[in-house]
Amino acid sequence: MASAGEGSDIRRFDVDFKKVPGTLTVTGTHIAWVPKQKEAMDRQNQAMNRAINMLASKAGSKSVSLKILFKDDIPSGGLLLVFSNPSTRENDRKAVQDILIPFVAANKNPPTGGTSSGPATPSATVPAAAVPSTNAAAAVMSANAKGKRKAEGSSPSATPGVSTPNLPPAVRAGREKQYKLRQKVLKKNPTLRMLHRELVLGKQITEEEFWDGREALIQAEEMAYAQKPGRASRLLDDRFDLDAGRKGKSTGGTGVGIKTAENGPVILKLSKELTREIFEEFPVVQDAYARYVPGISETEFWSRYFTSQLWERHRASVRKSAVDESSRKKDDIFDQYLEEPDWNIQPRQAQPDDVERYLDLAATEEDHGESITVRDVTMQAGRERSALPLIRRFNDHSKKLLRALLGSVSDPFFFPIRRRGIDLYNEIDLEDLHGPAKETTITLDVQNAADMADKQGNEGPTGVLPGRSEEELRSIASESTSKLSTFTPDFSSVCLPNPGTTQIDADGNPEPHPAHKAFAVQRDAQAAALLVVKDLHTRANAETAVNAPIPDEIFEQMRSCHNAATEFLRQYWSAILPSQPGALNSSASAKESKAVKMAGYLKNTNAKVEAIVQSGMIMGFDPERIRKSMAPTIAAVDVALAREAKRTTQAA
Amino acid sequence: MPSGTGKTVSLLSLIVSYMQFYPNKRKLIYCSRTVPEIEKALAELKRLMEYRAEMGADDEGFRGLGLTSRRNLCLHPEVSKEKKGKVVDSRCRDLTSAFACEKGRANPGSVPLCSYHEELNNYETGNLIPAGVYTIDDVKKYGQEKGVCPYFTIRRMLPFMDVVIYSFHYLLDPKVAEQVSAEMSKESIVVFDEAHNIDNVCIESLSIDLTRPMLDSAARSVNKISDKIEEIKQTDSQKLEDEYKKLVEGLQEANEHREDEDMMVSPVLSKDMLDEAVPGNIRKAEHFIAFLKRFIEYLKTRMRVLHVVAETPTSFLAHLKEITYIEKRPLKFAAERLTSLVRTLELTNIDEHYSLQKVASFGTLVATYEKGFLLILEPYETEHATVPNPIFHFTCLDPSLAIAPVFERFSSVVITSGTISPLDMYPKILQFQPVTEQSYPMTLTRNAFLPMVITRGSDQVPISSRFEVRNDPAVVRNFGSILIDMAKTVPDGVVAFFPSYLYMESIVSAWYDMGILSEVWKHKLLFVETPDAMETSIALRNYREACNNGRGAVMLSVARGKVSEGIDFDHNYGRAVIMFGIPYQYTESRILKARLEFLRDNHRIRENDYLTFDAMRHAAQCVGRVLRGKTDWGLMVFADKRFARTDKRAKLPKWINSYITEAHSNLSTDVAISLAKKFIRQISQPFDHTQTGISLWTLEDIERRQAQDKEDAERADRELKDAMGRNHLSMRNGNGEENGDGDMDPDVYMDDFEGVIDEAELAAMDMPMDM
Repeated sequence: MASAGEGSDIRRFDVDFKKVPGTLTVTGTHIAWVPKQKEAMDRQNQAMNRAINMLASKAGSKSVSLKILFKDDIPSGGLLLVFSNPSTRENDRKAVQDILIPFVAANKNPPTGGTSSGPATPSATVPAAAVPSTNAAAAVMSANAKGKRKAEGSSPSATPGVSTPNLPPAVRAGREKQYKLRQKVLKKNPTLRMLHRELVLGKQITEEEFWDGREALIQAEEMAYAQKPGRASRLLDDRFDLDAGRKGKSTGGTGVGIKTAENGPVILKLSKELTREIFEEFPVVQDAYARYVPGISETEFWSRYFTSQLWERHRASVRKSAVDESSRKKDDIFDQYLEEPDWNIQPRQAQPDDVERYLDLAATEEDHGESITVRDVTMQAGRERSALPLIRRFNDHSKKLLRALLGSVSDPFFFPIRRRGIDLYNEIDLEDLHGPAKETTITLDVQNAADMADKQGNEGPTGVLPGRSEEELRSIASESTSKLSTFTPDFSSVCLPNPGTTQIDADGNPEPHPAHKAFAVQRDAQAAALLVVKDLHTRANAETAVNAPIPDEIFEQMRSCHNAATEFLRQYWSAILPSQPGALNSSASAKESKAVKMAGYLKNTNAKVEAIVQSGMIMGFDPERIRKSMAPTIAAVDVALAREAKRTTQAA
Repeated sequence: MPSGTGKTVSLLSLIVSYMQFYPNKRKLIYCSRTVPEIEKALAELKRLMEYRAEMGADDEGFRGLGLTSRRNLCLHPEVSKEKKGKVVDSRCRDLTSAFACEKGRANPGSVPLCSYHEELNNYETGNLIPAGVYTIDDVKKYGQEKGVCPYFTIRRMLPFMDVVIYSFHYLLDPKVAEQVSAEMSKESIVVFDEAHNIDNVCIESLSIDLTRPMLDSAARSVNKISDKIEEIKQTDSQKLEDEYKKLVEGLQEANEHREDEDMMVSPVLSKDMLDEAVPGNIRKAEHFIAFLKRFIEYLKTRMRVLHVVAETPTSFLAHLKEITYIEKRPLKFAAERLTSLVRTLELTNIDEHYSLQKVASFGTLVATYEKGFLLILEPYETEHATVPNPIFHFTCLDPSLAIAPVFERFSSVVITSGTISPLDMYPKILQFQPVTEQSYPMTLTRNAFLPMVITRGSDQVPISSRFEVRNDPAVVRNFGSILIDMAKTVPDGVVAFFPSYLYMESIVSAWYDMGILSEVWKHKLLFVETPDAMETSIALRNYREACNNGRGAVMLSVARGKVSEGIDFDHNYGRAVIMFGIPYQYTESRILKARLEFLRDNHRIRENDYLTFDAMRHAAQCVGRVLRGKTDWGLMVFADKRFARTDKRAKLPKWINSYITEAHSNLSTDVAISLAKKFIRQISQPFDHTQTGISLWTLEDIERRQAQDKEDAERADRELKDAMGRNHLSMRNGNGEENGDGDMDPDVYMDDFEGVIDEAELAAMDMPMDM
């Protein structure tokens, strides 16, 4: 039922919870209660697969109620729901019970290897610690893989999608994995999380719809999730620094997996990972392990190994062990693996001779008879004999790390298939000496391309002043510049002096000045001009002026409105556009209904924006700015709606 | 200039154009340093010829091949498995020598022969391989297809080649040159590419060192040979008689040229070879054996001495005569007499007698040369050693001796390299008069590399590889922290060079103990050069792989070592190169001391000047490895406080030195790292690498330049009409000369035309575009 994830099976019931009237919403995965009163704070949302029991009130009693108990007793006491719709309450309860029954049944008898048990609690058999006879190091094997990645997202809550308990485990595991991935994506992406909360948890669209078209995000997350930490790159023995305790000086080891009890034996904790690395690093140990371990206990094997001369050889090359050779005790297993350190000029291990020619140092060395002179002491390679095994181990270790990176650790002789011989031309090719490459343009396949080109040519004169030749333009330009350079404003010619309103006429009476009229006209014109310029100035300034920031609340609303609209648009267009082959939900009817639904949501956008504008006005914020900033959103919505209108009329 | 600026192809195209234009086809002998470089030069030539064909040039019958050793060319199913060149040579000789072939052909199956060699007889002399240019791999492939021996194909085709590319030694080392290069016409043009180290090659080719185990082995060989003589005396005494007769007539006839014997030839230069009959007292085989025995015994006695002896060849010979009555004259013939004997006895597996050959060569060299040579006996390897391990060095002090025949014989010799600096040092130590010397600048459209001199660690302790302080923990740790910080900062590949193997090996151990390498491992993989060439090659391959897949890696190697010569760390293979210390030679070496003394006395080169010059050319070689082409970028770190001194830096090639600003010449590690970070961020920005008009010229650019040059020349001509003859013509005006600012980094380029070249030829070389 809920498996298809369609929004159609969201069901709502009138339910009182703690005596507060509200609505109970039951989806395929969750059961949620929202109070009807706005100010009531208490809301409930529980995953149904956590329900472990249901208790219904007796039929015919005064109130029709249902108590649902959840795993781990969270929320404590469960939810006591009282169905309040007087006409349908019996049926409502029944419906809810029907939905919940499979979950409760599944949770009462949890299937083995179930979905909810979290990380397997380590039930390792820890063998009796430490062999007391050895003083230096006693190895304790703990059988459980310490390095194993802990199952992530271990919270057993909310696993939507897993609503039908009788799904095959593979599908179920797949779902669970997907759910985890989605959670991770949301966690990383706050905006998306907000949108998800609004739309999916707000029951506007379903989970599946929400994720439809966002596969890339999930995939990226999955890839990131699938990445595993590679091998540690430090040398193995460098990490067990046994000397640290003994000689009281640091030699650079980090002492991974080492625990030293006060004055007690050194305890090494070996994880599977670590043993695997030891085997990889020193194949002889694996050999010995394979041969002897059923015979002697694993603990003994390791403790003997770590006290043997072989280990001493392995870890520090020969430089140290040579000193206390005599003080070492014999070990019949490991001593047979002892061999001369690889310190001769020629390496012990046979070298493959398929090196590319341009790396082939031996070819040059053997190109012309052997040198018959001896190089001086400092330049004789390999004179420091004790350093050679160490150097060889470095190279070997790096090689192994490299191979591990390529995922082929098992075969030490594995080399990726490469071309035999080299592409010599490629070797001598110098990219910077290439001539500039011609731009590779793609010719558009335009019909009547020639006509188009012609037309373009005849479209009419172009340029600053059409129809003038370049010379003319130039002369105009030079003329203007010369004019400008010699221009001096002649204010006296335009600005009349104020003669005064009146003048004393011949008989001493004031009479209007004859020049005053002209002056007044000129003054008014000046004022008007000033106004115009001032206005221009302020407007120009306003354009670049920094606006007061939009208040946070409004901004938040705007953002959420925009995000929702975009999501709806995305959904809408994905429903309208021809679906990609193989995509989910591609049936025509489903798409049709989705499109209609989304169009319905989209129609509300305008109202939402208006609401924001209203609240903005209440807060005293310029509504125009809100409108302007929401304009692109609205425009996009309008396009979609226009399209939808066209589509529906067409269909009709 | 760094590699990848087009040096090789410029030279090749110029010379090939010249060769093809003039009917008296001169040959080009192009010498390079390593096999990969030879292979690349061949590829350049191949592509050049393809281009010429495209442009409509008629190069019908043009032939170009590269020569390398049997070991690199052998196809024989068993012999080719051998790793050592010596062994391959010897086994090949057993299968292909004249007497083996004779026997094997007369009586099939009696003697194993090499089918690849035999197959060659079915081909016409001088046309063993179709005309064209073949890389070494091409020839091998061709040999595989046709079932013919690539080595002998090349060897026998050498006289018919237009271009031959091989390593320096084939021209300079008398042991090889006599066989391979004797037939090269005097008209040939010789080019020494990557010649910055040519003096050392010269010296090495005339020096020889003997050790005690070698003498023991030689003594055993002598006994074996004398047994063989006894045996032959019983069965086939006629053979020895014949040899004796031949020797009376003269050695040259006895040693008529035979290609299969090139592993045992005279170690002296051809002009010093004797063209006379072998002295009577070593003509008889048993007498010669006795002679050798005495000589070996004498050498053994000398080696018992427990103090250092340095003497001239003359005094050595005098003492030798006093004790053993061996005279100078027969000793001169030792090597050739041995060759003759080995041939007469039809010995196989001659690699067993390698030590004996060396002893004989030693004798011949000592008896032939007096001036410019020194004998040094060192009883102990190091000063502190207590167990004697004597080495008898016969060392050449004068590099001009080995190269003199080349200058004498060939009329045009070009010596060139990207890091040949300072220019005037080479004519001095090689004793020649350059006809023209040119150094060309390099144009860079952006500062593609950042050289930095780190003189102090972050803790302000000065760092240096000076012998007294190099093992100081503070210095070792500071060197280590440079490596760690670089590994952290720089993407992909980082290469580090040490002044010597000894130092590298000790510092690697020390770093491991200090936990420095663990720190490096956190950021990058770590590879180290080892004594074995193949092992190092594998490490290099893994290194490259790590650089390619983004893991990043650090390569530790040695200046003057295998890796520093000839392996490019271009692009992501080397975003930073660190020079830990200055790669001075081991100054306690007595040979070096003798050589310095020689240079001072004969060429007035001060010891310090030479040592610094030598160290700097190797440092430049190392740091120059990170750049290839102009789009490449990299960091160059010189970690030694002595690099801060201008006298050291001045000896670096100008293209590096001019980029070391005063501000960057005395840094501490932390400052250097922050500079490096800044540089990396900057250089990684997108950049338009179009070089057209700057370092890449179109035909129009060149023509414009030529027209201008011509005009200039004509004007100069008019002005100088009667004044001078042709001096101005010898100026090179190739297209690289002035396309940068005058103060841009010049690369060094030297030409040497010995002998007479007529004006027209010279002009044609100058103006290849006339064609």
